[in-house]
Amino acid sequence: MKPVALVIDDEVQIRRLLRVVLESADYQVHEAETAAQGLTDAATRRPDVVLLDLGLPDSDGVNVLRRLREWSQVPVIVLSVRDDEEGKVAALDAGADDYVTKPFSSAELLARLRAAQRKTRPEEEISRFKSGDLIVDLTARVVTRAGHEVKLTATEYALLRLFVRHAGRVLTHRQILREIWGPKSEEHRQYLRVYVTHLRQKIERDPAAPELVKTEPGIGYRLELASSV
Amino acid sequence: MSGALQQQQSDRAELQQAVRRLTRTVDHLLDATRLESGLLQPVREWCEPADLLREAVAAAGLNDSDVRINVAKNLPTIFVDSRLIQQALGALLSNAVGHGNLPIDLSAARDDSMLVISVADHGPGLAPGEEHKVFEKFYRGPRTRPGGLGLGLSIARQLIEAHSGEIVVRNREGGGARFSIRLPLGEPMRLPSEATA
Repeated sequence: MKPVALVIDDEVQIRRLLRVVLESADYQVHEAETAAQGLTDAATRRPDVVLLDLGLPDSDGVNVLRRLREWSQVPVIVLSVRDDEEGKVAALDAGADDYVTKPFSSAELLARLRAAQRKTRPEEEISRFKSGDLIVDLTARVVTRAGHEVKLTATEYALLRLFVRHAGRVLTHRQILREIWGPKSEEHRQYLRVYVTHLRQKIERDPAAPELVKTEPGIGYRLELASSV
Repeated sequence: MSGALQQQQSDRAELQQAVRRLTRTVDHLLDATRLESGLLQPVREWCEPADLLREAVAAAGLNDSDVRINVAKNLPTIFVDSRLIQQALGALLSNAVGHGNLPIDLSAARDDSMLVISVADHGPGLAPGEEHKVFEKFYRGPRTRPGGLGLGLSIARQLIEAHSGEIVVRNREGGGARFSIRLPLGEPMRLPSEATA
């Protein structure tokens, strides 16, 4: 059976475009123009993935997300505009799985969809991550690059493990801080960029031009998905 | 693709560009107001200078061939609000794009207790007496391209001053202008210690 995608966007052109892209990737597409209609459709159509515009006429997209998250864990990709980093961060922190910025390419959108539908799996289920010459073995807690073991500090390893578990998806600064340092994470906020830099120096081929841990300016970081076994 | 659809797409692109321009103008006005009211407090974090430069270039929609980045080796990390510094750099980059031929030269180096970030263009440079005027609100130079309010550089200056830094501009030898941001490095970072696993 084809996976069902629900598009909640008030712009008819965007809905049309998304329909073409999604149908070409073998999704069955439902469209909703308003937040109210979108929430109803999410309940009745039981979509496998939701594409949600943040600027709906009748309600804020983040509110829709909160309402939806009260009863559903369906993967949600937020459609946002450039320069709305605050909106994106609010949506991600409210439970969106990822975002794309309009105008987006169909390849980018489909990649985000695949990563979001993979969902976060518990650590035991992803035992190994491979990208280029980097291999992360979560079972053995061993990281190698080009066949050589990479020595990581506890924090660097925790960061990398978090990225691997969410490979291909964006993580906001707040999500990273909360996952790694828990409720007392605020005091570590000022060091986060430094920890990421140190991790890059150990796992990237060229730390000055990172290919694995990418910065999403104003939002957070994303581990690029090459292949995970 | 049908002609009507192509027309629609080009109308749409034009509208989107107009909306972006308007949004930028409103953002600049809001930024200027916030800065003047003193409400803007930097949220500081430890940053690698190289990271700041690269991210500012990417955020400005420029790439490696548009901007030549040159970062001195072994620069210390600096405690700043990365978003605000990138915004200031973005204003300088945008100004350089508007006034000169690419590529722009972007560099970071240490000068004693200061980090110096420079943005140098290949444009016509400044007329005598313009060195201070360019940072004034609503100042628009004789060679400024149309559009915009003349707020970008004044906002950049205020963002840097909010970090106890300063920003200056000089003509460079051989033509073009060089904007330099000077930020105090302050105490070196002390990362909480931990062993390698």
